[in-house]
Amino acid sequence: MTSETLGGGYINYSIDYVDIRYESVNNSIIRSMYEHEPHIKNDEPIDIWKGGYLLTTSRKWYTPYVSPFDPCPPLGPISYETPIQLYLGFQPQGMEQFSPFDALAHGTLWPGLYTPYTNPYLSKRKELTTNG
Amino acid sequence: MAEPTQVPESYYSDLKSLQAIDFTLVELTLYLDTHPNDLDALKQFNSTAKKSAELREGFEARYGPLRQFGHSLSAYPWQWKDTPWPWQV
Amino acid sequence: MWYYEKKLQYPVRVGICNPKMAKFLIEQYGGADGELAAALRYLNQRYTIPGRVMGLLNDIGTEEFAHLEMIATMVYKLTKDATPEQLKEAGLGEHYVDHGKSVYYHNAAGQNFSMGLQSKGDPIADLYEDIAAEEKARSTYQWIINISDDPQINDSLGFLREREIVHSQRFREAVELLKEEQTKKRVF
Ligand SMILES: [Fe+2]
Repeated sequence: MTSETLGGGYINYSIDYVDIRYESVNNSIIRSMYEHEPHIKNDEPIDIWKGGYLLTTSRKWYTPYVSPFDPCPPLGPISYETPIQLYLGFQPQGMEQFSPFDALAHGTLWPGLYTPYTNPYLSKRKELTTNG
Repeated sequence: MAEPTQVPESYYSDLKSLQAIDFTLVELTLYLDTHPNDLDALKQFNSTAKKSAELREGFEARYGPLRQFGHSLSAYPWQWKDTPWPWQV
Repeated sequence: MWYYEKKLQYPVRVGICNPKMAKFLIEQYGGADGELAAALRYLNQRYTIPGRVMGLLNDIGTEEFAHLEMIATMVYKLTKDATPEQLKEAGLGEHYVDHGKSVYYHNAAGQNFSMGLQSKGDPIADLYEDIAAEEKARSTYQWIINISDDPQINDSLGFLREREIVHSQRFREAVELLKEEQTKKRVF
């Protein structure tokens, strides 16, 4: 991937989540054609890079106004997603590719188009338990 | 009543190999639709299509025809209609 | 014409016997921003769009049918071994009375699929509509992932969600192609 290319999220993949879905792959044709490595996948929102520097993230947060008369306890910050296609522009030629197996697993052939998603309420809960 | 025989374990991994290579073709197709002058992508598309055909041939020899209306050959008796269908496996 | 291929685009595994998930997933089957609506909209729009982007609408429209089949597979697997009692518990009692275990084109709230599809015949209006539709489908997948407790279903939904991102990207590129003077050559 060149420094001009967007979407450096794959650089930040944590290695503690190793997907084992392709362990049973035993097709010799594919094997000889493509180097098959178990892919490393991070499901958390990613950082989005442009021109070699960090542009933004793929998840944003805002906090709604809390009224003393709200019937339910406040849920806290609310998230929304801002995936890669909002920033990429016309896809440049020659972007780095996933292997066919990793492409299938990620839902795209290009790491630069991959913007993962997890339930934000789960990560919020995680935060609460680690902080409290 | 006896339940219909299940596909062998190898079916799933062989199928996934095919799904992986065909997915690359889907991605390259959409990409080339908006990047018709990308020669490298075009070469990759053509060579991947050949790989896919090779892989499909092997798969069909093991598990039966994949493509409808004469784009796959059938052994006797007519195999196309055989279960399981993709939503059953 | 079209050819059927006897395989799903991406493996669908359902890990938990929870028919309630079927009720949520049906949104992407017969809902306003679901896969059927997307497929029919793109294939309908392709006739009156400039030739440069006709192929893209044709191909994305075709891929949407593969997604429709993945959703149907999940719904089918979640309901095929459910007793009427379980379906009732899952909020699918009305569905069962009306359609049995048939997969059906309606949304999560039970409203029948509507043919009120967006197709304006104006290339820019249609492509912006399509970009919006892809973002809406992406968010529907996010909402389903948020209420799903099945990591295997979520894996397939994650794939489908990423496809909406790629489709949105391509439609955005299609707009760029139509904005250009036809005589000029694109420089990357
Ligand atoms: Fe789509």
